[in-house]
Order: sequence, then structure tokens, then C-alpha cells
Amino acid sequence: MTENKQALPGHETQSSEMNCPSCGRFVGAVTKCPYCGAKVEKRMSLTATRWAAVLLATIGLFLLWLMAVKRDVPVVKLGDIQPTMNFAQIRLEGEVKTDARPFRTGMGMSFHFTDGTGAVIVFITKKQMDEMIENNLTPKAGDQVSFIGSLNVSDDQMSMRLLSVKEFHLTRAVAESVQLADITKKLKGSAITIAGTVTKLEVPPEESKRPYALQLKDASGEQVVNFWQAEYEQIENPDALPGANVRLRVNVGTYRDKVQLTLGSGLDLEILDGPPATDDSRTPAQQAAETYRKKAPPRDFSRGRAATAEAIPLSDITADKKGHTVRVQARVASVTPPQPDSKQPFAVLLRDGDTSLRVTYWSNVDERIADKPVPGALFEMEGVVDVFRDRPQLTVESGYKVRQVEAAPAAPEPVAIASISAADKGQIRTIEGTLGAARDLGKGTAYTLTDDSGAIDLILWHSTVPADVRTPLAEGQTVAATGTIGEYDGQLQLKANAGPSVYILR
Amino acid sequence: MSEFWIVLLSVSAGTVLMSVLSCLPGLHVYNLMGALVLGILALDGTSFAIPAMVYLPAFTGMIVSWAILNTIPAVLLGTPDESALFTVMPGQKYLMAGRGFEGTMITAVGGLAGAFFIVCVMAPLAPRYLPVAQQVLKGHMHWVLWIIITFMLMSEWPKGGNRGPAGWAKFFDAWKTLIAGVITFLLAGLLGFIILTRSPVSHVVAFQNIMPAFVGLFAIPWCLLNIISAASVPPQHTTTSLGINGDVVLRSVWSGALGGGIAAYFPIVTGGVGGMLAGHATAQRDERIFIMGQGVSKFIYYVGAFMLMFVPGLHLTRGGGAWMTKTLFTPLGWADYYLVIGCIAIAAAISYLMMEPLAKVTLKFINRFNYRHVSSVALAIILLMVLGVTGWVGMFIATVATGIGLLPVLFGSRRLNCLGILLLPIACNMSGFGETITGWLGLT
Repeated sequence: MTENKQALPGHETQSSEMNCPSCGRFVGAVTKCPYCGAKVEKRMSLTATRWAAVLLATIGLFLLWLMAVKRDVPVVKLGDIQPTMNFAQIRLEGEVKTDARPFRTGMGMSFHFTDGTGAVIVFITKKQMDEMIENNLTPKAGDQVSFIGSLNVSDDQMSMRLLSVKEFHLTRAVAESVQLADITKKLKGSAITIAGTVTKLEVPPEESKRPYALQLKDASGEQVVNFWQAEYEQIENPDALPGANVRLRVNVGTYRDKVQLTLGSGLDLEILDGPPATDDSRTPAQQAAETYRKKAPPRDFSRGRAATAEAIPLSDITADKKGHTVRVQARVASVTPPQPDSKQPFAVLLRDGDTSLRVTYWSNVDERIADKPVPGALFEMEGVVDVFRDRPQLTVESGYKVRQVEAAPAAPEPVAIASISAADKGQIRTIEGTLGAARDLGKGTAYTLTDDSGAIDLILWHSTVPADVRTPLAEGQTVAATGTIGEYDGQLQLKANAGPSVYILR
Repeated sequence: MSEFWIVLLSVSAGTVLMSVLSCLPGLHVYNLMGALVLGILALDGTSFAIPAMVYLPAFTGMIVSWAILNTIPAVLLGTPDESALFTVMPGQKYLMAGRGFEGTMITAVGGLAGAFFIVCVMAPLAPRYLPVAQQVLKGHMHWVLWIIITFMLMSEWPKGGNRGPAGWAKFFDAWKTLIAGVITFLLAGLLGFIILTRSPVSHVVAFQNIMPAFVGLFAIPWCLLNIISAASVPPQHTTTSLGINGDVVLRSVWSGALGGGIAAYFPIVTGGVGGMLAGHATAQRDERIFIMGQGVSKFIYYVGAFMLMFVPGLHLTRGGGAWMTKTLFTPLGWADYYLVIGCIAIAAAISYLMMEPLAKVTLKFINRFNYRHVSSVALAIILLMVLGVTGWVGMFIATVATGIGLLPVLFGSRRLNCLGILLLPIACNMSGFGETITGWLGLT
């Protein structure tokens, strides 16, 4: 390499350091010729640039990291969010709209959030979910929260992904202290604080899907609080529960038109040293939280399309409309969730008079539906018409296109079997009775349901009544079943409604 | 005017506009689309609102034309994006031999072949098979990404150490490019964690969060190197025929479609990575197949990824173009799919026809002007674009990224390693331990 070789033809115009001094080939910026391995001397500027680059990369990266860590994340109102903010990391402050619900896969959970100017669904990963459960930070409806998330905005939907549990600040909603006798259906949907003495803790049998039942008594009366194994394991010293004085925060719901109290987290149960004292004082933060609640107009996500899809009656949806985007409104007849570990979609059957339509959507769509479809509820859905086994069906591609218009009517009061006649055919009835032996119908199971006044066949079709409702049923159990009165071979029968229509009472 | 004519005019206008702009070095179609999205959103709700039937065909035409005509600056002006990585070295050889025009035209033929592949093969099969494939593969993406990363890092070969006495000096000589590659990957990954978790860019233009980093990693280092190394381009010759035949075309489509398909379908995997995997998988040695295959690969990567958003039953968002369009428009049903496929076909035809005159004009331009000056102008355009969209914070990010982007160029390792900016954080997030790492970094 003492002498530069003459450049190859066509390379004469290059600077000497661009060609190999040994073989004369063009080598560009490299310092060792890829053809012959000879060392290629470069001007100082290039060598200096190398180390300048290393310095720039490391120092710059360090400064950038400092900047990122020290920077205050901006607080943004949902109403001010623009599509150009897609992927932005922002802080939201406001109220939790719905309780956080775990995904079917158990790999995380989501909740709906509002700040008075808009609403958004917030996704939480499994790791974050576990940490939140451990620290009793699981959001519940009405709680005030402030958190940092990563925004995802598209034409018709918006969502957030929680970035850090460390920066998730939660102020629990004011839970009114209520005497047990004062708990009525008017409190449905609210969280309350109750206190009393545990008279009995009913533990569900192994392999059973029944919840724990905590019987509680105070000076005014008695109530039962239900919770599951996960909450039981969170309770500090659960063995001490029988006979203990406790204070707990519960959610009020209804089951079969009766009040039902559920414990959302085991950390919401406190074992007291003595009988509870009445205390309804609230912290200033809680008082502020109570006055903060506002109703927000829903955000308009119709950008990009001139108008929402055409609304048409179910009867107008035919195979000819394949590929068309349509909007329908009808009552939900049944909801079939996919089997665990299957690749099936959710299937909802909509019915309007004599016409029915199958609607399908995938789990990712279901996760974004604020009010899940339940039998009897009136829903509006928008999707693309497809043809499945020669019949039209609707494929919904966004959870925001599924909207509840009217909630399902409450289950009717139980009636005596003897009071049911042929005139009741097609009507929905609830019967409380004892199950006879199960009879296999191929695609369904039949039981003889007996009460003090008579007997009737209870039919559970596998396509509409989920396995987790059917499986625990056994001969001799007392159940409450809701369904439609039908007739087969001259005998009246009760065809169980889709979904959780049969409950074990005893 | 009927929808048909509106769509035809829009796609033609978008294609012609982007065909001309594609000749500017360093200007990426996604940067321009970003600016247009801002404009469309600003007009939304006013009497000048732009309907989807106008901007959607125009966007399609822009992506198609850029995928084909970006070869001109990549080969003739030496400012490639990372997906043109492999075409640069063989392309530069063509340029240095005075055959730059032929090199660009061979790549363009690859793009045209890619268009035929998308319209005649991918489009009919995608709605039937891709939704099924997606259901099967979506739970496996994380380990696929890790395998790609492992292959990318391990397949880089030592470029020295084969001469001289044994010892640490020889060992270091062999390993220094590999070490530079791994360091580049890790530094880029660190930058990715910061930008994807706590981006310093204003939240108002967050959709361009990553743009300054990409510009710094790929475009600026190349311009800087052109300016510093001061290579002069020999006189270029045009030709009326190309040194390819049917066999070369078919083999190019085979390797390019595989590479582009992998890049378009798998998240974060870009055209360069897909091309590298396909190159190893198909083991094509012919330089012409290499260049043309990259033309096919680039077309399928950019256009195929955009098309996936419209596949009925799939609606997969892949690539910056699809993400930006998604902020404006949600595709539904077959009508939108046919619209996009039709636009791809029309735009590909127009783009290819524009390739030859534009390549000739560019050659005249570089024959007349100094290569250094062209690179300087390109650098100025890029910097102005970053400053305009993301401000001084974006400039700072671009500067840091430039430092990282210069490492592989100056140490002779693969520039693909810069893709650690997306590959590392996304693979970690998909595998469920991204939060742990951002926790260690104090970012969450």
C-alpha cells in the first residue's frame, strides 16, 4: 500500500480515497476494501465524523432521556382532541363512567372514562391490571381519576392505553353510608358503604360457579353480600370473618328484581375492632368529586363520511345488499359469545317481528361496546351486509357502532305453573321450581320443572343458553327460570331465554 | 360530476404530483401526506371540506407513484430511505458505470411487476385467505419479531480480521463492524422507547412523533456523507433497452414479492428487513434480480401495506400511510376495496410512464449541477420540513438520531440496525415486558 494503484476505467474522476489504493475499485466510505482487504486511508474529516457521531448519539440520547423524564405531560380535554394527536401521550382528568371489566382472555381490562367534554375507552395491560388490583386501584363507576395514557384516534373511534400505574391517581367516589334496611332498588347502580356483624359466611362448594355469600346484620336488618374467589383472596384475614364486625363498600344491583349487593374488591372490606360507628363524613376531595359529575355530549366520530349509514328495517336486508353498509335497530333475541379458545366471533340475533338477522363481531369489537347486548334490549347496530350459508348477516367492525337504545325489561315476577295456560304462548314467564332429571334432546336439554301447583318442561337449547348456565344445573336443585311459553306435542313448555336465564336458588 | 370521474381525476392528480415530487431527494411521501392530513382536517366542517372520494384516490396515487419513482433520487442522487437500502450499493455501481438510467428503469420495471402482482394475485386472494391467516398468526407476532431481530443481527458478517497476526487486534478488526451494528440497534431502540413512551414532540402533532427520528436515522446521514465524501458522478448514458428478460422478471417477482409481503404484513418490519429476509430465503445472486427484486419489494411493501387496510374482513393497519388515512377514513365493505385496487392499477400505469422522462430530466440536472450542491439542497429541504412540522424539539430529536444513523454508515455496518427504533420497543411491548423496561428507564 505504499503506492496507489491506478483507478479502474470509469473511476478516474473519484477522489483518491474513494477507490481502493490496491485494486483500484470504488469502495466509498469503508476503510477496508471489501474486494481485496487492503486498508483505505481516509481524510481526517471522515474519521473525526465517526467519533463525533458516537458522541452526538450518546450525549444527545442522554439529554433526550432527561427531557422525556422531566417533562410535564400536558392535560388535555377530550373535547379538544384532534386526529393529529394520534399517538400523543397526554394526561386525562375526570370521572370513571363504567367499572373496569377484565377481558375474556384475562390479559387486561378496560373502563370508560369521561371528563365532561367527551368519553373514551381506556385499555389496561395485564401487568398494570394485576398491580391495580393489588393496590385497590381498580377503577369503578363514579371514581375520579387522573392518569397518563397514549392516545389512539381514528376516523370513527378513540381509545387510550394506560401508560403508567405509578401516575394513576384515583379518588374513590363518595359511597353513602346506608343502613341495611334502607337498601332498596332505588340505589341500583350506586356504590354504598355498609357496616354490621357477619352472621354467616357461605363458602361455595368446590368446582361450583356460585359466589361466596356473606350474611350481614345491623340494628336495622339483614343483607347478603356476594363476592367471588378473587375478592375472597384479597380480604385480609378472611378466617376471622364469621362473627366479626365489618365495614365494606359494595355495589348495589338487582337480580330477579331483588336487591343484590356485590363486593368489588376484597380490599374494600375492613374488619373492625368493635361495633361500627355511624360516620358519613366525607373528605373535601370526595365532596368536590360529587359536585364534579356532569353529563357530556357524546363525541362525534363521523368525520370522513358524509353521513351515517342508511337506516333500514331488518326485513329489507337481503343477500342482494351484500357489501352495503347499513344501520339497523331491533331487539336482541340472543347473544352467543365465542367458546373459550375458539376462533369464533360473537353472534347476536336481532329480531323485529317475524324477521331476524344474525350479527357477528370479534372480541376486539366487543371490548369497545359500552353497553353489551343482552336479550330483550333494543339495540342499534351498523355494519356491512355479508352472506353466510345463503342467508344475509351483518358484520360489525367497530364497537362504537353498537349502541343500546333501550335497556332490556326486567324479568317478570315468578308465577305458579298451574296459572300458565295455552293463552300464554309466546309470552315471557318466570317460574321458580325444582328440577327433575335431565333429558338429552340432542341440541338441547330438557328438565321437568315442578312447583307446588304443577309441572312443566323446561327446555334449554345449547345454541342460546351458554354452557356456564347449563352445566351447574342438577336434579333436585331449586331454580328460577325465565323463558318463553311454547307448546310441543300438545304440552306446554318453558323455553329458556338466551343468556343467563336460569339461576340456582338452592 | 360522477364519482367515477372524481376518482379518476383525483388519482391522476395525486400520482402526477407525487411523481414529480418523488424526484426531490429526501422527501418522503408520508411527510407530504402528513401535511395534507393536517390541511384536510383544518378544512373539515367548513364549506371547503374535502370529501373522502377526493383524498382517498389521491393518497393511493401518491403512495404508488412514490413507491416507483423514489428510485430516481435513491439511485441517481443517493438519498435512500431504509427500504431502498439494498438498491443503493448495486444502484451506485450502475451510477458509477454511467448506467444510472438503466438501473432506475430496471427498478421501475420491478415496481410495475409488483403492481401486476398486487392487482392480479394479492387482491383476489387477500379477502379470502388473509383474515384467516391473521386469526392464526396474531398471537404469534411477538416471537416472529424476535426471530427477525435475531436473524438481522446475527446475519451480519465480519468485514475484517481475515489478515494479519492472531490476537486481540485481529479479533477487534473482525468484530468492530458487528459491535457497531449491535450498538446502533440498542441506541436506536433506546431512542424508540423514549419517543414511543414520552415523546418530547408537542402532542398537537403527535401523529408525526417518529418522523424526526426517521429523518435523522436515514435521510440526514446520507446527505451528510454525500457532502463530505464528495463523490463526482461520471457522465450518464440513456438507453432504449434494458438488460433483463422474462426469467429475470419472474425470479425478481418471486424474491421481491416475498420480501415486500413479509414487510407489508408483519408489524414494524419494513421493506429493507423484508428484502433482507427474502434475499436470504431465495438466494438470488444475479445483480439485476437483486435490483429489480427490490423494486418489486418496495412497491409491495408500501402499496400492499396500504391496501391491507381496505381488505374486507381484515382491515389491518400497516405502515404510516394507512395510519394517517385512518385518522380521516374508516374503510367498510367491498366498494372501498375495489376503489383502492382500481386506483393502484391506474396510478402504477401513470407512474411507470412518467419514470422515463423524469429520470432523463434528473440525469440532465445532475450532469449540470454539482452532486454536493444537490445533497446540500436536499438536506436543507429535509431540515425545513422537520422544523416546520415538529419545531425545534423535532430538530433536536433529528440531531440525536443523526448521530445514531451515522454510526452504521461510518463504521461499515448495516443501516438496517437503525430500525431498532421500532423493532426493539414494539417487540418488547408485544412480549409483555416493555413496561418493565420503560419502568427501569423512569419513563413510566
